[in-house]
Amino acid sequence: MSKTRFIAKRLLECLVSLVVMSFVIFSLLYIAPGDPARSLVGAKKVTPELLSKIREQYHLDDPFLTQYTRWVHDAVSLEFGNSIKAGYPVIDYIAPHAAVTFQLVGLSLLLSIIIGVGLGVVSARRKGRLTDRIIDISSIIGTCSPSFALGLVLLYVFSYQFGIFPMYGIGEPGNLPDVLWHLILPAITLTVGVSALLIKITRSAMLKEVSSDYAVFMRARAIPTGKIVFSQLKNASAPVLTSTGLVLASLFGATVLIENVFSIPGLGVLLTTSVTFRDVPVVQFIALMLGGIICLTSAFVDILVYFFNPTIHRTPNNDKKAKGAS
Amino acid sequence: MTIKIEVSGLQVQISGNEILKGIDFKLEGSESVGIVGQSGSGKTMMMRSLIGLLPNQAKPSGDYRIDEQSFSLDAREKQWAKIRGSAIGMVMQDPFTALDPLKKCGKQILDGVPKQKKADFDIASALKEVGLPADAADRYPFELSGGQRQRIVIAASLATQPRLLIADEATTALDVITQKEILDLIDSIRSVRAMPLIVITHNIRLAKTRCDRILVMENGKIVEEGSALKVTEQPCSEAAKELIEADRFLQVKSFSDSYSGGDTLLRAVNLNKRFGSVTALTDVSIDVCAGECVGIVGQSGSGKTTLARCLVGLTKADSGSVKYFGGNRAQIVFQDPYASLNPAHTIRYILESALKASNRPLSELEELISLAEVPEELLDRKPAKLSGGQRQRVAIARALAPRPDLLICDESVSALDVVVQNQILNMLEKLRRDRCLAVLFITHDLSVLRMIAGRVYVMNEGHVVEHGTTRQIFESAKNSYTKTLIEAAAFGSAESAPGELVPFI
Amino acid sequence: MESTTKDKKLKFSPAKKLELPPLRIILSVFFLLIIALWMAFPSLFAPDALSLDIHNAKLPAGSAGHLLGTDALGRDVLKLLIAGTDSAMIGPLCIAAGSLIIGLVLGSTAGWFGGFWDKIVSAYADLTLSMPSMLLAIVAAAIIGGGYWVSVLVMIILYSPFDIRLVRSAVMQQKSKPYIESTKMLNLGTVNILAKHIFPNIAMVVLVNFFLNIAYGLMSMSSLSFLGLGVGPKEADWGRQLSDGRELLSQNPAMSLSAGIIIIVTAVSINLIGSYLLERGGFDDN
Repeated sequence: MSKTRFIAKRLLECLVSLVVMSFVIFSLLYIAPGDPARSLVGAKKVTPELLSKIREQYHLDDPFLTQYTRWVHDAVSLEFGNSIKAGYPVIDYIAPHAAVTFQLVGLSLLLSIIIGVGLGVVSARRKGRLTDRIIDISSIIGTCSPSFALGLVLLYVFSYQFGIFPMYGIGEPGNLPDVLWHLILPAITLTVGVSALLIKITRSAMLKEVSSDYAVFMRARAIPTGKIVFSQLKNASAPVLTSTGLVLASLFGATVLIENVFSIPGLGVLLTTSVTFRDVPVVQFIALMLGGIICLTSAFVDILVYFFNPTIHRTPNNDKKAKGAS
Repeated sequence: MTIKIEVSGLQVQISGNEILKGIDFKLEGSESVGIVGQSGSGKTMMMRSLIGLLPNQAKPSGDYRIDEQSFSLDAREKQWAKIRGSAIGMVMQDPFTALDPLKKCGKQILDGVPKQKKADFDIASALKEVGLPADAADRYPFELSGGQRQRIVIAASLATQPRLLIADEATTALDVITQKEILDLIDSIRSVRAMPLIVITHNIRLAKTRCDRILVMENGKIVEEGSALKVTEQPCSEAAKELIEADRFLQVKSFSDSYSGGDTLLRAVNLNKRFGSVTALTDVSIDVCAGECVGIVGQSGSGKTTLARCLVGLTKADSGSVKYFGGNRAQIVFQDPYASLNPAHTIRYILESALKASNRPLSELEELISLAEVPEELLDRKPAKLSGGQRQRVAIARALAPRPDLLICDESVSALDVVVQNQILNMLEKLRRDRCLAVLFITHDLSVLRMIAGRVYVMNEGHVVEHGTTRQIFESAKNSYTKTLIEAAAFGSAESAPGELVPFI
Repeated sequence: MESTTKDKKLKFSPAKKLELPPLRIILSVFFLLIIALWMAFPSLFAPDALSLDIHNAKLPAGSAGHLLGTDALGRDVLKLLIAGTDSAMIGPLCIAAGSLIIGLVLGSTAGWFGGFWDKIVSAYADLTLSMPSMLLAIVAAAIIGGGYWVSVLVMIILYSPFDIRLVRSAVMQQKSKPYIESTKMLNLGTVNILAKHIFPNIAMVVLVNFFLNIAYGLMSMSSLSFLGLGVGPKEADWGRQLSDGRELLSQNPAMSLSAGIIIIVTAVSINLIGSYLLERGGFDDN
């Protein structure tokens, strides 16, 4: 497969899943019980005439597919409509919340990579020893602790009992140290689960490399250990990197819960309140934006891995087939 | 370049088991020493303890001196860094896995060069020494063939400027023809550099032709030691005798008299098969007659396995016809004894379900196991408890259940020890004689064919390049490929399995 | 009969059979047994768990007669916890079973037959996997508003691609093994081969995955109920209890903490047993 074909194929996959996702979300909101026109006017008493006028204004009486294509058309031209609750464009409404969430997710992504990959390598290199077993069991505990439960336990212990970290909120806007200080505990909570996932992936990828012949041969030539580990890590990197989609998905999923635990006014809290309020444009936008970020990033990483691996796009020696291929 | 190595009382324990039981070994000057033994005899362990590459759990002990300087056998990486590379270099067994797949070959060779010499190290001449062009430095390992990769491995070992080279089954994973080339290369490097060499092998003929001195190992001990000629001509130990007996080129002087000329049983005409852009078979036609043993020989990639699969219908040929005359379809026995039996079932279940599927009464079970010489006490065990040879016997018994007229053996013995190979070959020969069972034997190993096949087809790159009686092929081959193959195999090189299954204990 | 060195290493080791599993496994099994009992007989262990007692509301843990205190409505927290086991565990069990069945049916047929059917199944699995599952689950559960069983259904759909992929690749791996090819040579028939010759070899992996799915299902379902989705406000449920207890963090922290801890310990126990089984139970001899 040529390089361009690979890129095209991968981006097409990404597009398909975005379309399917948007379709699913849109149809969910369409079939949901309750009258969207009613929720638009809120608790006010209105005449049926007014309701049907609202319906007409928002094209709520059109058939499903017409509504969907209109919405896709608007979305492609970056027109996402107004938030029902706030009354102004969705993008402006979401922006400050998004900033908070991205800070939180970015911080814990960084921590997760350092901890997850680091411990995964250590654990693979010490396979079967005490260190490995401790790391293994902690990563099992990490993957099995729902973020909200863990967050609550941490919140109780560190903020409530010891008063080390602030209880709620994100601190003074604009004051970066204060904001970071508020984000530390939620970020740690997020990190536990995600780094446990990364430990597992890194460990199993590294195990193959640790016992590999080329590593033995490098040792036999007195090549320094650091260099050997680097080679192993390079060879183990593909499965770790291609797990990006999974990692981001679990980060964004967990952040919805964490923000609710720590009362952080991010996208998660916004999503849950908008869902209960039936603020359809906001829910659609958040879900699609996060889905889009996940899809695009993992496509980008896959393409990167593809270019990084010479065995895929350079022509191998064909006259002698590999061992055992007779 | 010389080195003096002395080990005495070398012992290695792995979780309570004594793997090496007190070994004394000395090497001086620029001699070449062959360490010979069956797999599991401890020869690889012994070599690895000299360079500190034992498995983690291993506990070595003993007295170790290099050039009168004493070293600990149970040291940490730091001490070994002084020995590895600069004193002892190693050529790995499997060139397909010994190189970092993501690094260019030149870089890998350069990695091992001592720091102070890095500046004026000439990769082109290092590659020239192993017979590779300079542009090989810019290739990734997967772009090279097995033989070329093994040359890179040798160049990488030499780049560390060792004073002693250890070759651990260094050609076992390669084709016969490539084996000979690599062994010749090691010989020439040795004589140019006047460098001592340790050859570790299970093939005593290889050691005989390439070494001055031979040590025979068995069960973690050296049981015989002497000049290459003396050990091979007048062996004293049982182990040495067994190794010599196992070598069919040393032993079997006659050809198989496999009966030929019965009714035609199988006729395949003009088989063609492609996998994507790779052509596996081109116009292959073969015949098998009732009760004869026919051999198909070829290197890996020659299409012989594809042919076997087409003959039994596991792979569909693109064109051509396969026709069976007479009753039953052929049955097949595969190469890997560790995958040929379902690990979830007992031997009894495996054989009984084969009988049921072929509508035979279960009472035939006893006959089956006696035909394939499967000991009765194995019946209620699962395959994990059986040795490789025992598993292949069960696989043969299973294949016999539907009473086929033809048994196809696809490299069925090549993963086994030579002694076990011979036992199974004898059993097949007996089945052929007593039950008039035709056998189609597919192998890369010419000596096996010489022992059991009456007729041989030689395959290369999807073509049948030559066929005739075994005697014709061996004594008056016409095709140049056949000639190279026979020459390489008969000359002191190994003709063993592509990768021993238990290289390590 | 073959006196090679290989045979000597293949002796039986009777000592292995008497070996006890490690302590963590014994504790996990014991803990899960208790959970199972709570599930089976909730009214035996926690009668009248939902009866209100406004006079004794918000009692701290350790109060007389209320080991873990009471909630804002005066309900005993320990009883609530026990009564909540049903709601917390039945969903995950159904999720694991549902996605297992889908996985076995779609995965094994796709892996065995390959071709066009395999392409369709794989495309479905890839597509579902590329969705941010937790986000979709939240949106779906909230919008449809059908409560508990809708959430379970959504989870089954979102979990099934993992099972499909697992079974499919296991079957494909088995399919090319010589011992399976030789059953084809004996004309054993597809259903027979799949059921009697392939399934025993993949059963352990599938079983372990079933276990893990219960653990992850527990996490997902309690996440939803933590957000107030899936279970009604007055019902006993661990996630719900943890969420409600946040209001009482100063008066009775045990309410939230006990729910959080029991979720974690249950999930960890299941996971430990799963990975232990995987380690021990593989049939593979090499």
